[in-house]
Amino acid sequence: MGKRIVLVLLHLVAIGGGIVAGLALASALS
Amino acid sequence: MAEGGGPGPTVSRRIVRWVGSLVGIAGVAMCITLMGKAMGSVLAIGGACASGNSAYVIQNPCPNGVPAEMLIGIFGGLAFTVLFLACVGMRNAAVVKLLWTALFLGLGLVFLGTGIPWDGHGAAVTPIIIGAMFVLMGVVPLFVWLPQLWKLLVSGSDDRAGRGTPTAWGSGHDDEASHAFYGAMGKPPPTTHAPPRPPGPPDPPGTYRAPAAPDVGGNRGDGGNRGNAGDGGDSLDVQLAHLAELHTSHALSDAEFIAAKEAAIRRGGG
Repeated sequence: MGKRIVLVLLHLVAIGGGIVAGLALASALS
Repeated sequence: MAEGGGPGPTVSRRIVRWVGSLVGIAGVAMCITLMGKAMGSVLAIGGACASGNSAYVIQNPCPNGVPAEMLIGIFGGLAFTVLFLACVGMRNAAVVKLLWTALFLGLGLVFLGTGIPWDGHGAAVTPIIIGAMFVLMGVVPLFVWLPQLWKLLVSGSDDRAGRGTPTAWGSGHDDEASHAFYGAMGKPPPTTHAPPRPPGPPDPPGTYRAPAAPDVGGNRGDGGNRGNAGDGGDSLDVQLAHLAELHTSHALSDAEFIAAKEAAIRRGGG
């Protein structure tokens, strides 16, 4: 259970990183 | 991947799957963000645009970057979804449903943000209607999926998903492999999914009543006489063939396969 929670938190961090990367890429493209 | 190589290959494969799932979900988030930004740019100029060489006169050219953002967003999103799905495995495939919610909720909020008169200008009805519809499409199925997703988070298994696939998130072997492995070892698996026990005399201590296993190569011919792995219900060659099949499909690691094989041979010869 603890390992799964860590994995879920890691994925949430990855989602946040992906959103930031998407905003940066959109700024670079426009 | 040598035989008897211990847990090394399994651990490295699991790490690769973890990294792949993280990259996949981050890529999906990036692509949905790109699509949202592109959609917002198009909505800001009236909701429609065109670009590229055309025989028609383009009245409303697309803002800079919108074509690239949409192309990367759509096809990149699909590619990252495939990567994510491949890395989390079929047993955890239900989490992919969250991407539906993320896509429609994200785009719906973009539409609503465009249509609602935040800065005093007149409300645009069409984006509000579309945005509300997208938000409903994203949120309503979530309530249907939440019990299944919660079960996946708590117990690490999805009864409706396919079996036999080792996953990044699970324990490394599914129910079938777990039963075969622990059945061969002569003890019950550490799982809460214990099969219903058929009526009959109690087993002697130290034996485990394994669930019915699928035919291997159609050579069982035992008329359904399946049950206690310790009472000779399964012949040794069938057990070994079944274990080899699980090992080939990576449901059992090298170490687990060797241990189960040795236990089966020990019991079969004793």
